[in-house]
Amino acid sequence: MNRRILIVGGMVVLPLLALFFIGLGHDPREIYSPLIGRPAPSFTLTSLDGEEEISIDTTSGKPAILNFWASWCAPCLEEHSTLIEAARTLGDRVRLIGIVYDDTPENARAFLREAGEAFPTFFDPGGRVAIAYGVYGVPETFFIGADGRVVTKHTGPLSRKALAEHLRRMEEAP
Amino acid sequence: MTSLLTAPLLAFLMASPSTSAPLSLRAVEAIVGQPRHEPLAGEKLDRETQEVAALLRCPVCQGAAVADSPSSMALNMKAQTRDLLALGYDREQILRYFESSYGEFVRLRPPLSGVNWLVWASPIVALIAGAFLVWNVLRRGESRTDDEPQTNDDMASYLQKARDLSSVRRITTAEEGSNRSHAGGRS
Repeated sequence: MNRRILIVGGMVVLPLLALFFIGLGHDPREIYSPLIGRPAPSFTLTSLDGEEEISIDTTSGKPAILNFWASWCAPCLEEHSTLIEAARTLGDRVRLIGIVYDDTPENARAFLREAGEAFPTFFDPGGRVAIAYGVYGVPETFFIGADGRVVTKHTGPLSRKALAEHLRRMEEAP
Repeated sequence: MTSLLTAPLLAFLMASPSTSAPLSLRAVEAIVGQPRHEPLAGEKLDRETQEVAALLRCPVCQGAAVADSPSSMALNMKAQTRDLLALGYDREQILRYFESSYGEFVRLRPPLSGVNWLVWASPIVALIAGAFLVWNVLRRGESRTDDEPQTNDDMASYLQKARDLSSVRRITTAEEGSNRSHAGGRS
């Protein structure tokens, strides 16, 4: 009888323990994204003055960084200087594109006037691009390799250290 | 300012192979292909939009459907659902598209495949296991009342031992008694 209790108890407890240890290996801050490793969606955006439409094809053979932000988002302001610095140091090697999410073009322009503008920023009417990339909130930054695949994604404000790590992974990708 | 920055970018980007679909739709087409249904309009479109939105989980809400949430993300998803239905995409295509960006989590009614089988099957398995356990216990209880003399074997032998012991004691006390009387007889 005791042995049976041991076997049944083990059958219940051991899988739970296994799940527990698998869970320990996860970074809780990392939000799962089905896009990692998949071709980055191409999309159309409008310029902040609303006059131009721009199509962005991610299969153009150059690594890209997509940064989703909003003027009402404090962490976005926090990371903006890091992005400006990155845009200056990376220059032509990487395309850096800002995408304004759930905001008005006026507020976005005011934000850029204050925080500085070093890379092209576009408006995402209807949040279509945000949906295509599975954006939950701002800021979120996607790193797209030269082959047009999403290499990594960063949720929350981007520190200099985190940016360097993502860039390293992006450049190591095929 | 913006156009100054975008001009080289545009030139760079527009040199991409063009397909029939506009880029805004290419993301959808890349995942689910061409529309499979006839384009919807009017009341039919309204109804189907509502029904599909009820099957979609709003990613930023606490377990609410896109149909029930006033958040801007839910409104955006609902608007895109409507547009796709109007273009002739069917329900499954639209769900699959949102799933491609947010994962299966976005489906409020996940399909019955893979690990999901576990979710559906485990209550049934647990029920059967529980029923078996109860049946087993009941059956054992029954058999115990049936062959009581057999299961009380240990008890019987114990009783027998106890009886033997007490009879031994009785004999010894009897002997002692007789001895005493004997001694008494002597004195």
